[in-house]
Amino acid sequence: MTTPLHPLFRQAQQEIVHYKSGRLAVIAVPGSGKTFTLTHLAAGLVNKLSAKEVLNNTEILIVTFSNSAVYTLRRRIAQILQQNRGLLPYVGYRVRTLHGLAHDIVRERPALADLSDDFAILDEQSSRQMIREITQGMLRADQTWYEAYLAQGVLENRSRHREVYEHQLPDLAVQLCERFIKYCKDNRLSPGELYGLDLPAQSALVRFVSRVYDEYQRRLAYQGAVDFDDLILNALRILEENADFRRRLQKRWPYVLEDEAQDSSQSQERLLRLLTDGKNWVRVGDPNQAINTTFTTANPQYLRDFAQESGVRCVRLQQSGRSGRPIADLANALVRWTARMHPVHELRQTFESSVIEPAPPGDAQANPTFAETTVYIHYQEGRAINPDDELRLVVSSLTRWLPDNGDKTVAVLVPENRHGYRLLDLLQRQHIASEELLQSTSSVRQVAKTLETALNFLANPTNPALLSRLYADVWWQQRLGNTAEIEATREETERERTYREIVGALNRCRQVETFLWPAGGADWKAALNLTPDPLFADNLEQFRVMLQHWLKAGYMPADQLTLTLAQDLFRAPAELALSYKIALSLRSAQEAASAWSLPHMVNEVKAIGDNQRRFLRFEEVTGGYAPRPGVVTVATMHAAKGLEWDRVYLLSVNSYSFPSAQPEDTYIGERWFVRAQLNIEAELLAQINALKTGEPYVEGEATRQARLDYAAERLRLLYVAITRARRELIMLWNTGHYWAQGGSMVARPALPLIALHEYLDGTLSLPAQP
Amino acid sequence: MTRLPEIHRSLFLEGPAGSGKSTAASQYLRQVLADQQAAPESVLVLVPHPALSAPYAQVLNTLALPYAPHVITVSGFARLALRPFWPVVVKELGLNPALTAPTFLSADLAQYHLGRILQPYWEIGAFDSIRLPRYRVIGQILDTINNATQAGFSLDETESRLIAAWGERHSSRVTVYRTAAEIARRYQTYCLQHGLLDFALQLHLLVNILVDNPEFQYSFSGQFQYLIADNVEEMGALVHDFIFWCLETVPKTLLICDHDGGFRSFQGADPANALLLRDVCLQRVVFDDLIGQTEPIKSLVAAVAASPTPADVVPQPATPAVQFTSTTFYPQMIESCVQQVQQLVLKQQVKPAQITIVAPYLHDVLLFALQSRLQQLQIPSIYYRPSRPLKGEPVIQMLLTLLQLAATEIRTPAEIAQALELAIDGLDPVRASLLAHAVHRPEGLLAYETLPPVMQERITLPIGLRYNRLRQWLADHPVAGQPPDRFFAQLLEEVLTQPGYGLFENVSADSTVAGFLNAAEGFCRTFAGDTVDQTQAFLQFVREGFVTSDWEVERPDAVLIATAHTVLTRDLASDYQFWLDAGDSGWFERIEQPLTHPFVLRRGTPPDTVWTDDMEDALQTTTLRHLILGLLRRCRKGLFVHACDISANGYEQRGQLLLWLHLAVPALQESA
Repeated sequence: MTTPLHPLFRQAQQEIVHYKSGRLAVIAVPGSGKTFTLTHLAAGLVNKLSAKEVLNNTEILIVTFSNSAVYTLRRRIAQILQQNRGLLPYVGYRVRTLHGLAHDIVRERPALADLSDDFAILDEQSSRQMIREITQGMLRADQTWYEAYLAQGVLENRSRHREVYEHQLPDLAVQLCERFIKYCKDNRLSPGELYGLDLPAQSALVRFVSRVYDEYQRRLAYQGAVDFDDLILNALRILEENADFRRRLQKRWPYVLEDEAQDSSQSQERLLRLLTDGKNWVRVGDPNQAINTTFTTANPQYLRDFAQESGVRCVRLQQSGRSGRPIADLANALVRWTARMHPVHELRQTFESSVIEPAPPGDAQANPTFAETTVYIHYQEGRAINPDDELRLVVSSLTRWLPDNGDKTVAVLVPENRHGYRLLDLLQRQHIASEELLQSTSSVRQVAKTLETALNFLANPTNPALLSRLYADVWWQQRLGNTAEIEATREETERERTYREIVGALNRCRQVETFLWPAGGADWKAALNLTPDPLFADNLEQFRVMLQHWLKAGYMPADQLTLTLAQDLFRAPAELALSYKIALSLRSAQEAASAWSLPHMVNEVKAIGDNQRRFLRFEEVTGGYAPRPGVVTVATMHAAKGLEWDRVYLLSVNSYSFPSAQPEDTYIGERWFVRAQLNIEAELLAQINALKTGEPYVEGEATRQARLDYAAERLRLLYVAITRARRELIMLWNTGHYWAQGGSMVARPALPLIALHEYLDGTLSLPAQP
Repeated sequence: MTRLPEIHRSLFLEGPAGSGKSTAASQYLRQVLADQQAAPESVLVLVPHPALSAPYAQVLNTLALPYAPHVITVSGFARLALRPFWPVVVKELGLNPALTAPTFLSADLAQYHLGRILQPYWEIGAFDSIRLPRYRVIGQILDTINNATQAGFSLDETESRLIAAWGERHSSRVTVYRTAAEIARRYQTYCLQHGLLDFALQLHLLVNILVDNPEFQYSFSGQFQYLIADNVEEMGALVHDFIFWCLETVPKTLLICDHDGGFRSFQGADPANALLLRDVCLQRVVFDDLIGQTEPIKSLVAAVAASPTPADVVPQPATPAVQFTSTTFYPQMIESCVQQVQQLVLKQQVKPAQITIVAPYLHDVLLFALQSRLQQLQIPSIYYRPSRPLKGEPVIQMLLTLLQLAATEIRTPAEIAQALELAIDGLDPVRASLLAHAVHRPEGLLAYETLPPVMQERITLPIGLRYNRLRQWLADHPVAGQPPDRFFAQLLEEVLTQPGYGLFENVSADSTVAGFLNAAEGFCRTFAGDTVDQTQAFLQFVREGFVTSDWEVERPDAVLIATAHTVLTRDLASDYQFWLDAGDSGWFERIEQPLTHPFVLRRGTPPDTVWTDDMEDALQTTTLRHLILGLLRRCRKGLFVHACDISANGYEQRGQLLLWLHLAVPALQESA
């Protein structure tokens, strides 16, 4: 079977789809049909596999950056191939993230990485918990290293010092250790190699984090476990040390297609080089959309260098039919302004000199017309709005716009999650339909909150307030037992009144045992001093029975207890799958911790509910995210990558979220209690680098470089955010409210926001070419 | 059923699993005992695992014999032989004559003692370069010892074979192999010095010492006239040596061998070596027709059996006897499996015992989810999970907490509440929590009557009195100076099994508690005369997960949940099989392990073999093929294959098992 080529491929796209072999770099501007082309290329290559190759499990390997991209690519390739879903889904190809690929490799021959068959993979939260436990233990023994970094006056001011020592320092230490361990693994530095370095006396910080790293690795080894970064390290090691196994995999994956190659890291680059053996490797990406480089070894330079390598063919996809001209012009203007006029010279190299060109006439994906397109930047010199007002403005704008545009898609993009959660709250209060693409989804939070409420009662079964909360927030909310029948047969006022009576009575029940297990044949209703109508009495009886069942299961391990609750509480497949994931995650955390009890479990589930844990979006597995008309998507700018909406609001385009390496800028990662506004994480990594290379370490230099890197990445993030809009783009900024050394500060409009505003009103003229 | 011909001296019976070989052999046993009126003590039946004695036990149950013949594993037989002939061993090996009797170590105890030898090495980080938990290091060193013994290799040869197999790969592994070998040597020396005989030593002493001893030879040949050895492919080469010797000694021998077996290769099975026995047997019979299987399953078996690799499989037409269900999420997969089981049991009146649910791993979450859903549907289920640590069982946790309280160790109120809830009949979880918080003091537990009257009333007098009796008993029985097995036995007898306490007529906890007591007794026996603090040592023993549930349970009319390995090594056939998590890559173990290597430690493997990826790949394909064949041959009427896109952990499922089935039955589409 051969798949016909899509009749409307653009010329450059045709060139890619007709790829036969060799190394190919594809540099694609936003909206240029990169995924469309890549999936057709993959499907074409799958079709070219001979029957024998398919029987021998030969596959086209596609590597991408995120889980959601895996699901999207896989679904689209399946659609093109029109394969019937049989026993083996996705025959002839495999789509993986780097971690997924590493997992496949290690899982196939674990012994080559000194692991047993049933090795455990510590998830992010269990790994963090282990690092936290080790760090706290080490901090008790070594409290001196941080004093060298304290800002003037902190040590002398007792209450400030206490605040730093008790609250700020433990979190800082954990973060430093996490970053350090990740950096070492990315750079393949083992604890043993660190000990081999000649550490000068002033390297107390390096010594501290090295000891945590060593202990962390030791504990992982003793549990027969690896973390996510180890998976990649081990896959690399296996491929490097085992030529015969490497050759087998090279044969299995004769073509490797890499999507989002601008986010390729050192490890990914190395791993794919080993797998492709310099042969059939297609790398697709846009260096201008590299937005995952901070504190990682991801670097768009790998893609740029690859495109320059001898023997590599480079194709540019520059025509884009996504946005109306004014929006594409604005994105191009951002590139040109940065390249020519950015006040910081080092940042002028941020962008690759590519221009988004309109789709050719008659193209299947024609750009929206000028008339359909608007760009508005909410900026007036001297006028500032605070974050709450910014959100109110957006809600008000949406309230006016949505009724006439129910057939269009709209998104509000925020630089960080917290602002997004607050907006969602406002939208819900205004009954505006919304969806979210933030760190955790409402379903994760909802499932976790429900489990937390239940577990909290189980950990404190004599507490009537928790009992009452469980009834109100879980039992009643989830419409368990005969609640639906009550809703159908009782008037709302009566229902509400009785419900409130019950909640109050449970809250006043000082002796919970008399309600749950009344002694001597007493009536449990007497414990509540209630005589509810029979339907409510049944409802309470069902509630009691469920609690008795749960309490009797209280001795179970964390995972089993969670599942017991989940089976009673949830019905939707995604909710149940999430409960499974939480259960396994708790089990893993339980095994990683030296001491564990029900209250620990409550805290872990609470952390998931409080958005402190990253969880797989199970909803995306089935369909991937597709914006729905008339429903507001609230997303981080990072999560919005790869998506598009008719109208897009960009929020918080201020000097804090988009700093420009100006002296007055403040940066995430710089703490008020650290002297000289040092970015202590960057300084730590610079110290390690210096020790490794033998070059001198100059304090402050890494902080300066980190600011430049961060500012460059944020410029690219802004570029990504702008290019999400098809017809309407609205940019806003707010003053924020941030802590800085010496007190709080407010943010200013971001420099690029001002520049683009001036460009739009004609007061700034930019050269035609970047 | 096919009958065996008359055995003149030795007969080798072979064929695939499910072709009626063991049934024919057990009928031969009946014939020998009933018709030929052989004395029961003159018959020896050897099996590789106690579970495989079932067909023989069933026949023996139907015969009114004054006493039963030995149906036993070879190590079991070795234990029987070593007791009376222990002085021979002491003399031969120059052991301490004061050791008047050997102490046999269970697998758990062997792990414990090896762990003691390992500890100083562990503490200095000798195993830091491999990523195995301590119990796995212990397990793999023991596997190496057992495999090497069964192949007849010395520990020196074992060490050099493992190093040779590693070849030119990274260098740290060689050091680890050397350390592991050193520990193995020290462990064996320690065991012999103390008369502690583990599985490997039991076999070694039987085959390499006793068999050469004229007194033993005289005794053996005088007693045994008939030998039946079943599943010889699951036995190691050393056991085959013993059988070779028996062939010369015992007048009539029946050997039974499964085709495509060798599922116990990690325990030393050597199916290739087993075929050498065929060459010396005077008669050879092949059974090749599968009994009781429906045609579609038979033809699927034939298609796989005829294909060395998935690419060779001749595609079969789709059949209702093989159904496939694919789901997106893991819980959906469990639910759809449960629904199909329900259909079979309720609509088609299939007996639960005729249903087996097979999974690559039986982790707690899967087991719990499956069992609780089946329970809701009132479908009985049991699971076999050998070597499951008992430390996780609530009743064992309760016993341990009480031991610690008697040893005046501080426990948390939550631990005390759980222990009291299980120990005192009628104590609900809320009052257990109240009571535990009320009586918990660092210096010990308070008496009920010292609590404030309101609290006493909340807890209730009957519960208070039961609590007081238990508290008083613990206070009167300090653990210092008495071995823990005695402590538990007394506690159970005098308090916990009495009316008013949690284990009174508590049948469900009986086997767990009995197994635990058995382990405690065995543990204390090996410490007789030792100065070790037995309570602390025992607690450590349990905490490390060495006390496991390895005893056999009767199979009631219940759906069986087991791993593929368990189904195969215990020969658990049924009408219907469910393969759960079919996309998982864990359906078979990888051959090469960080510390051991069953293939390199086989007798037929040349000593300087370097293990390559091609070898691993080819052997993995063979192993998986054997596994599929083994499972299919133990499935008579229907196969339900279940897969989910995303594993419980969130990974895409894409194992080789699905590829085999996809190629064997390409028309197989989703049934749900």
